[in-house]
Amino acid sequence: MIENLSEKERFELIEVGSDEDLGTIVVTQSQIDENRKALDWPEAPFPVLHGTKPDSTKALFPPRVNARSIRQFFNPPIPGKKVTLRMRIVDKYLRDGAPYVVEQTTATDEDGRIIEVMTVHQLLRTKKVGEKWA
Amino acid sequence: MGLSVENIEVGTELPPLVKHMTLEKMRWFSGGEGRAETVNLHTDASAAQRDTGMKQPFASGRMSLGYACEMMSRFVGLDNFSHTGTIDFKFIKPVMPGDTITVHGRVSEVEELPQGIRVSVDIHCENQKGEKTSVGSGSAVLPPK
Repeated sequence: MIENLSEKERFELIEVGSDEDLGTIVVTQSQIDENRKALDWPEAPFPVLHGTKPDSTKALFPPRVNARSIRQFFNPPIPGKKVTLRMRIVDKYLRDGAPYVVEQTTATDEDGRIIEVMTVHQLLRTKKVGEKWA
Repeated sequence: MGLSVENIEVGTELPPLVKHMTLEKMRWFSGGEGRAETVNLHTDASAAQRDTGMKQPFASGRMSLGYACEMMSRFVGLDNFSHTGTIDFKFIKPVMPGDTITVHGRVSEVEELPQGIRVSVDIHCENQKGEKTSVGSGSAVLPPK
């Protein structure tokens, strides 16, 4: 049972280099509209797609906090099109004793257009946020 | 506000962008349609307390990244940014509901490439107290004239 493992043991289970198929989603106009309202930007073209699908490290570390994001944009998503999400674990590291994982997700639509590539450094010891800022 | 290649130079300051954070916006962003979890540390006080020890939810860093995207899109044009744009952002202090966030940008590099001119910008966000909440950079390629 994962919940019985220590943080260190769960961190060791993360396989750098592994690829994961996160399946497909269909981007809806209402998702795009909601993102625009949230950002107060009526033209915002790119909702956050990879936040919609859980991956294997989320099973090991359910709450995670984004410490760094790198987004590369290629084509805005088109409502109604299927988008395939593929994720690769590109690194994991310790900083100040806290574990982080680096995941890169590529979103590609059903016509083969790359929507974007997202690289995210996730802090896995989320209590660290409250220890520093609460 | 698109720019022509001729009037961009290193040191050019981008017009600042000001945003007001609310819990409602955070819920649209992090708990909206299609999300795996609509109740999470960005949308709910008890989840924030349980998962992070924070007393209230704090905004997803990707919202600040979105603000940086808007600033870059205003600068280089939405179409240019949507097809060639990048943002690399580190989140260094939580953004809370009620915060007013100002995004600042300054051109750090202008580079000629075969497909156009790549403009790189140093970007940071700060709150109403003048504290930096995220730092990083953005870039986009402008077509050659």
